[in-house]
Amino acid sequence: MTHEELKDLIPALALDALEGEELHEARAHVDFCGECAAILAAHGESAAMLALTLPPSTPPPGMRERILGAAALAPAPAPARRTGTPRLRLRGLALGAASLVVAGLVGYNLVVASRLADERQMVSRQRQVLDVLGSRYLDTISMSATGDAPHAGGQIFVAERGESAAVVMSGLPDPGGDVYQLWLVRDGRPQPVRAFRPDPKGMAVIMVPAPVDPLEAFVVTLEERAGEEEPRGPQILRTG
Amino acid sequence: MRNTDFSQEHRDDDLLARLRSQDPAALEDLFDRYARAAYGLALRVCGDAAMAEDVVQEAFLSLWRRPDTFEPSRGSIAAYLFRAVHNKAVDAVRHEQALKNRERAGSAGGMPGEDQEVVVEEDWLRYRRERVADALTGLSDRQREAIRLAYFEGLTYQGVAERLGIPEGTAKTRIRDGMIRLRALLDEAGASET
Repeated sequence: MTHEELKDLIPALALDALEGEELHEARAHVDFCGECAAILAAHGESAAMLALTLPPSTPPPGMRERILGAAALAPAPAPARRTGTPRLRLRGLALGAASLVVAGLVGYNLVVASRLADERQMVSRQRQVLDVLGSRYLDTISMSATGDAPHAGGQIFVAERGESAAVVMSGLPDPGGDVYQLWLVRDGRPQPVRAFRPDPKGMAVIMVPAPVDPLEAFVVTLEERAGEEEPRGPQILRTG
Repeated sequence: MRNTDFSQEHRDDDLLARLRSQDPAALEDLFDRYARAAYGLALRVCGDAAMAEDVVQEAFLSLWRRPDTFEPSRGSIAAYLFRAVHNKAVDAVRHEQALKNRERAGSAGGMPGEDQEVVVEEDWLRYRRERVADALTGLSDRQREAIRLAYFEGLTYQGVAERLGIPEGTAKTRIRDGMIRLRALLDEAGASET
């Protein structure tokens, strides 16, 4: 889809009125386009105002206590502390390598992002990834190339026992008119996570929605279009 | 273009800072400030009280656990929270096929719910509710209906087209043009305040 076609979809995206391929493409586009991200933010404010056309409704008894109780049981992640334990030394190596990848992405994107909104967007994404990398509890899963892209590689960083995860990939060939698709294999069934395109350096970073089990498998395939419900193209990367 | 319709200036800025510093009282304040509107929205979309509560809980807890995912430059905390509630509610409805629940709950034909209890609300929320209600009168009936179906009934634009018996492109255009018009009217109203 062209930029103008995707821009036309932004109001519907703000109303959650998209699904399938259009939803995937629109979300992916907003991640990289500062102009459309700003438009989405504005329409998001309007959509939230629509909520106010409804008279407020008293929540059920006990709901406040249930939410506060759930928050107390699972508090927000604490700031990361780096120590010299073997596990964290290995994590330190992974952190170092991944941080270089992330820094490379930041550097590249800041060069091409001439608008302040683009820069803030990119920095926000990198901060999300770095938050994962800096978590106190971190599992690292390596992804290996399958042969169709022998120089590709990747690592999945799962933070806080599945609270969040970042997939960092490199060496991905230009997909041309196709698109890469990240899948999460759960109970033997691949579930689509995100369609994406690498930057000109062949790098890509994706945040994976929680919860994530470090024992689950991830696969990257090359698809003709975004929004596929099951893998159709060749595998490029996989865990395990 | 005003980027935030909800900002209470220093109050929301203070709330965000406290959320990021993991102050438990910040979550209480967030709930007390927005839960009634959030629950009202979730209930309207889901048509099921239990589902609505789950949705609202997920939205509040997601902001509590990852306040760093919220970017002030991209809107207000309230808008972020309501978007999360709406998104989760729509996902839940589409997944659970709760259309029957919504019909049983008796969805209203117009924008405001007519069978909700009267709840005392803060002046600033009431003011904004009146402001958006005024702005909606500036949309055409067709635009308003398309937006109502998409937002409150949880329909995709294809679903809106099917419901109204119009082409998908027409539904998408009505939603797009209606939202652009709504944004402009809200900006005008906001500009006229200062």
